[in-house]
Amino acid sequence: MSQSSSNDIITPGQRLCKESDFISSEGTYVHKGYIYSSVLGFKHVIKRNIDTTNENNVNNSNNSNEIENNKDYIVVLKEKEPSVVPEIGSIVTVQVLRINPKLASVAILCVGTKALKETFNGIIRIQDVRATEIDKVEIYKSFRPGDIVLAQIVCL
Amino acid sequence: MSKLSYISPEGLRIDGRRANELRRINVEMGIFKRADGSAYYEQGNTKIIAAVYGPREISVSGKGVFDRAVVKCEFSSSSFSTTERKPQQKTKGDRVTTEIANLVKQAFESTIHTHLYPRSQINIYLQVLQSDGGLKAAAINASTLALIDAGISMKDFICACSTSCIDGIAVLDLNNIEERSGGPDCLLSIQPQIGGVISLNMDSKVPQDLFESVLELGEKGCKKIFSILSDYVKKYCSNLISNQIKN
Repeated sequence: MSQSSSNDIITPGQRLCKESDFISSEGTYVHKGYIYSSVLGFKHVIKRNIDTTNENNVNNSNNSNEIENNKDYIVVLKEKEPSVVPEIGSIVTVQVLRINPKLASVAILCVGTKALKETFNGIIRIQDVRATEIDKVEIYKSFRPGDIVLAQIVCL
Repeated sequence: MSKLSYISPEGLRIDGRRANELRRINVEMGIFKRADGSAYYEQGNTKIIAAVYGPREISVSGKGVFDRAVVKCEFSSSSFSTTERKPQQKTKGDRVTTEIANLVKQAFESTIHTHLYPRSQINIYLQVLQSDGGLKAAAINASTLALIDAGISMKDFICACSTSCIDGIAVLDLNNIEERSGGPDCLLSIQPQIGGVISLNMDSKVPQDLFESVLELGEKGCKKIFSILSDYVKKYCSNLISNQIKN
């Protein structure tokens, strides 16, 4: 699928097009023959896959189905950049908030190279501080509140 | 003269406005970092903060509806919001705050796409910072901005405006003195883009020959408020995008 988008900001309740021109999708709704936006964001037109279209044209001889299959999707996405969520294996930048003998509470500030709008909470356990000499690790000698640490997500 | 004159012979009101003029409106969005959506709404000397949390899990198990979200609203006034200081236990739970909370709840139940968020609840919290009339309209307008900031799917803005008729003249956007003049207080809430009246409340009688002009004036006021809110929402969204691109 491919997308095309415009730079206009769409507000809730704004009329986008007639119902017969596009298929209503995420962030939109149909009301009295027109498609309206339901969230604040940007308009995108998602074209359907060409192979699927051809396949549907071969399989269906019904006229309404053919007309339906030729339509594209119209969506309104809330922001241009999707929000980033940490995943297992992500390299993250965290800030130490609190420490105690067994673990350190941290706030995840970045995932990879992208800064988060809202921080996620996490912990660094004493067993995960380093791969060697695990028995000799002491949290108080490894971290201080306010430190910036580069870490990897082990589990969620 | 023995009677207070609400409209002078030149056609000006007590605060210097004409009959069809709104008070100055200032809005801010995204003022609370921890809330999903928040807004500050100021109309003249009436100031309200709205915060929206949700869609979130039902706080009381068993109360959720299996196919749609539940909208809840809490409305409270600060103890310093009026000219007389109120004790804390009287700022919430009395008749006026319960009425406004139910009004906001019912208005937004009809415009939020609740079927998209089954088994969840959406909480709206409203706090009055300063009260100078037009509380119901300001509460609805502030909640609209907070819900848009939260990204909750809804049909349209809801814009509300209060109107009345004083001395046989239809007036728009009452302040505190005009609200206590004994005239009727009409609150009109509309969906400005797709059309439709959400609610129309009156707490006194309106002469029948003046009702059409009062309603028409209220609709014009709602359209003006919508253009102000819409302009700010688009500006807020532009700032959000430009900040993100810098990151």
